[in-house]
Amino acid sequence: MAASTAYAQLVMLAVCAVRRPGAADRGHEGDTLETDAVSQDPPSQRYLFDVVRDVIGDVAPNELPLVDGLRGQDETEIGRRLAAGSSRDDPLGFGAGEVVVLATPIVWGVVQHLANKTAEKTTKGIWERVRDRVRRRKRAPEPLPPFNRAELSQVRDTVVEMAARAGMKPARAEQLAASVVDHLVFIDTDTNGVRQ
Amino acid sequence: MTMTQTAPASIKPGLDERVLNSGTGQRFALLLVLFVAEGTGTAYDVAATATGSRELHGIALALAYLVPVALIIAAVGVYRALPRWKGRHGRSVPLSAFPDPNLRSELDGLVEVSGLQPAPQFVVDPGAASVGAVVFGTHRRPVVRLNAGLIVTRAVDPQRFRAVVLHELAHIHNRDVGITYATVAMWRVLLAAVFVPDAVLLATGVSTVSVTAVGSVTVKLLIVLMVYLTRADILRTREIYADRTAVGVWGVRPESLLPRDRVDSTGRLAVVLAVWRTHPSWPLRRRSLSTPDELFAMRAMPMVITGIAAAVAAARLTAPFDPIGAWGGVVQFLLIAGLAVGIGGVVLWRTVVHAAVTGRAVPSGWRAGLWLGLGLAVGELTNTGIIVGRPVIIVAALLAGLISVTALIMAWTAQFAELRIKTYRGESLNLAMLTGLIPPGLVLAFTLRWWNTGTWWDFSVQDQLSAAQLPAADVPWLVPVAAALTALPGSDPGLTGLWWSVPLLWLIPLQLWLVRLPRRVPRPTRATRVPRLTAARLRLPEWLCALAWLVVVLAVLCAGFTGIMLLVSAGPAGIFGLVLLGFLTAQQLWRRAKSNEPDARLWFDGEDSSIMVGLGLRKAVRIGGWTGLLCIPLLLAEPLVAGSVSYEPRWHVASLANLAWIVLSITAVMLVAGFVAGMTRSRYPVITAPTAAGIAGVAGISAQYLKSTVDGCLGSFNVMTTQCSWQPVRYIPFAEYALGYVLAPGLLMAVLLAVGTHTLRRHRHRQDIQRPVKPMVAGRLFNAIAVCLIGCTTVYHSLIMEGPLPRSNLLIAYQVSPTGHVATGVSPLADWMRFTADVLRGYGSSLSDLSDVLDTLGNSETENVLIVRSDVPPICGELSDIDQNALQDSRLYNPAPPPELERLWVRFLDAEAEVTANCWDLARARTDATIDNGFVAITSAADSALPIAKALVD
Repeated sequence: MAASTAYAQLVMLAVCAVRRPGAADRGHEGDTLETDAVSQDPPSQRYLFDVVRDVIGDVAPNELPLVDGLRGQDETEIGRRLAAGSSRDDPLGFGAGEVVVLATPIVWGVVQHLANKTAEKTTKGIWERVRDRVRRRKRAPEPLPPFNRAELSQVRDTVVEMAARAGMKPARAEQLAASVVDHLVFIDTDTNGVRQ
Repeated sequence: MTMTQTAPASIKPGLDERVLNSGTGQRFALLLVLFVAEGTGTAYDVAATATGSRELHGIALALAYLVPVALIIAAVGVYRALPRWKGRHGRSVPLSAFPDPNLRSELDGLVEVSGLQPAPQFVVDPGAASVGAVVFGTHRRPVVRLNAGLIVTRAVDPQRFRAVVLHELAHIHNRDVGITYATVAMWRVLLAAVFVPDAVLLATGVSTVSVTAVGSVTVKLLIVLMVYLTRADILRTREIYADRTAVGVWGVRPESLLPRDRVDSTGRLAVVLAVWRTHPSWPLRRRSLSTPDELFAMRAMPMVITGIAAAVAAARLTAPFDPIGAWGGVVQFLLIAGLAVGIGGVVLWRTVVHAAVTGRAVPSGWRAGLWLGLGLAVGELTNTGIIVGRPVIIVAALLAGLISVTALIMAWTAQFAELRIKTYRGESLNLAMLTGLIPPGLVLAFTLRWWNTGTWWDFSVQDQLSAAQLPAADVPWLVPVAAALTALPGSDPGLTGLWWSVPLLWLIPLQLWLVRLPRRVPRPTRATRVPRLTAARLRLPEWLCALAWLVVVLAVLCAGFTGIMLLVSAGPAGIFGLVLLGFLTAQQLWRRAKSNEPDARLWFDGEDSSIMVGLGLRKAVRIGGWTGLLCIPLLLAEPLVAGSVSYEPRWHVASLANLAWIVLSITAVMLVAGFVAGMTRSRYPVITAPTAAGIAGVAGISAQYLKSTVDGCLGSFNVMTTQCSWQPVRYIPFAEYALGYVLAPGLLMAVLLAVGTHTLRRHRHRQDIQRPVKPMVAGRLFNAIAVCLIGCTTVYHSLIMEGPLPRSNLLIAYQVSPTGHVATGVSPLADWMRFTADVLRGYGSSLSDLSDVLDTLGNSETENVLIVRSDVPPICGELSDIDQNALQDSRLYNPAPPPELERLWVRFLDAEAEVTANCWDLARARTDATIDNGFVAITSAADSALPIAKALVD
């Protein structure tokens, strides 16, 4: 079942790679030279934002307006902000009212964390990160690295755990985790990946 | 933990919560004052520790004053930086980043509903999952940050989205943004300002742990705690206001503001935790949406915190303000007492108006006053001057006195509020409240100012008598009483003594009674009129009302002042006063004509339009008038008790005794008036008692004034002179000196007695007869003339007085110059008399010492020669000093005294010079024979000088 779904999405990815709105938009909105290179990425390369948007579109479409507002923002900053949550006792805030279980921070956080961990060797050094920070230069988004089976399994478990911790119902948490895995599976072009 | 269900709430028609000032501004101002006081006090302490002296001068003093300025600049900097910090990159995403056009148009629509100009900026916090929003920024540039949870909820619950956004816009509409973030900025700077200096002192070794230990740190922690709790309380109240604005004015459905099902903790722990939170609990918010009771409630905690903050600020500012002089103290205490009464009084007025409108029991104000007083007492415990080295029982008694007076002041406020609200309707309540809060504010300032002078804590009658060079024993019993009086408030008869504020406790209600203007109040047909009408009335800025009131008060003061001038000497000032009085009368008549029109400025939608009550002041005036007559026999008995020219040649002591007798007898009559007023069944004992006692006191002072005018023509009742002549102003000061004592502490004592009596007889309290009040044209005329004259006589006399005098000087002034003004420069003759009296006293004292030495001659085993050689020369030195300086100094007085006085003066100085010469001869004597000769010579010279001195005195 999972294999057939994955196959269907592989076909969709092939279609989307030609007219993927996220990739096309990014080519125009980048404010640094580095972002221009993104539009010429091979279609098999996917970005964090795209994966998150697709997952949210599948599982929590009412969060799409929120995700769309994050387009073109610095991924690291967004990750930090999404992880920070909301302060409960802000002066002149509305107050600690109802809390919505948002899927976006969960998906973004888990995938970004795993991607950073996987691509540790290829990412910039600490010095470069500090320099970017000081210059307040927006870093260009980097394509997600390929994940192997073990990593995808870890992603799934982490998403379920985080969702449960945020108060999501178990069935929905499973659905979210499956969707994330499904969207990440196509990134793995490596012959040693999950398809084997 | 209990599960509470959301009940659909709806705004009921009732009293609009904006009918009166909310008091937030005053509470913020008190925080600001506390902030500045703590900054100044800490800087002063640091400078004092560094220089090793509590008396700062020059650069050290300037630095202590500059520190609060630096703190304010720092707070302004933090205030401006906060929005940038909260809206920094990565924390929020601008609304323009969201491609959804519906979101933007909906927000535009909501801004249009709120009518905010210019529209606030919107941003989104993508990480905040709660269905909420927050507003930050500055008063001019507010920013609304919408939570991601709210954005997501919009699709499924658009009403909730609308409600939350309008709640945040209501914060901007209610002007909460600037004040909130200014408080946050102050809070952060205060934390640094409070603890960093101590840390620096400790680190650099200038200070040791013992100096900055427990006491200091406790006070600072107390301040930090108070600021935090006050800030949280203000924010909770503003949330309820914002909820009600969104629902009541912009039509938000109440259930949209409340969570659907919400677990709320209840119980004591929740209540304790609630005071730390910046948001009210959901049950409270739900209740407040249907009824505004919470916004009119009086709670103990804010009262206590206000009291503590006021007392701590007053104590912290005392040392730094001291070098500025008397006016510095006046400004300091007016500010602090004004804020304390401004906060507590506004709460009381709100409670009273709510109770009056909803038909509930009107609070008496005692409880509020006790809480406020308790706060002041706790704050005073941080004032080391009062507690160190004193028995606990004494400290407790002192603090109980402070609490009683504060409770009395707040009870007056509540009763006056009820009276004002029930008797007169249709006018601006904020203006009425302002008028009603000025007397209690001034009286509290008067109390705090006297309290913080501190020197009365160690008062000793014997010390005062010896400092004034008066004998401690063998004097009439009234002389020590006069010395004791100088420890009371009222001993500073000048404007800066603030004693004149106490009579306002009865002059203001009396004025209210005299200008009463009944209104024809149309019954409102629709409850919906209330918000509209209130909103319309609120357009008039409050500061304009305050300014208009100030102008009227100044005009009244000028009228009274010039009216007094007219009585004393006619001239342009008197004519100007007449014109002003005429204007006031015309204005009153115009107001009466206007009062017959239906009044559109309604704030009230109660069912009952006939709740006007009789004031009951007619009876109080009657009691005051009749008991005031008792003063006449008591004052006529003055020569028998206190002595007079006929019986007692020692005039200087007698004048002190006379003053004491006048004060005692009039105060006793006032106490009788207070007692009788307390026995009557008035609904407003704290209003009627000071009226009765005040009128009795004024009657007594007037009787004394008249008696002084005709002194000399009263036969055996003469006091100061036996010459019957027209001298209308010669003995006025006797009445003036008594004025401060009689009308300030005397009045407060009488009111406390009346309240005690009234409490004991409370079971006989009867229901007020509710009857419409008739207009009183003659009353208005009388008001314009009489109240101005009575009230402003005090101001006039205060203006020409100079104070405060040190206590011993006060005694000297009373004994030396019973017929002249105390102030220098006001009466050259009085100054000259005081100077000559000083010389006479010095001469008398030296002569007395010499006489003591001479008495020992022949009675002692020591040889006379030795006694003379050792003891006489110092006395001769004193006499020589007097001799050398007196003539020279007397020429400094300009204009010179009358010629006959000057001739007498020169004769006296010649006689004194002869005594001095004989004294030196005696000091040089080496045999018993020469000593005897010298003794005889001195005695004869002194005898010849005595009649001249007596003539000078007369």
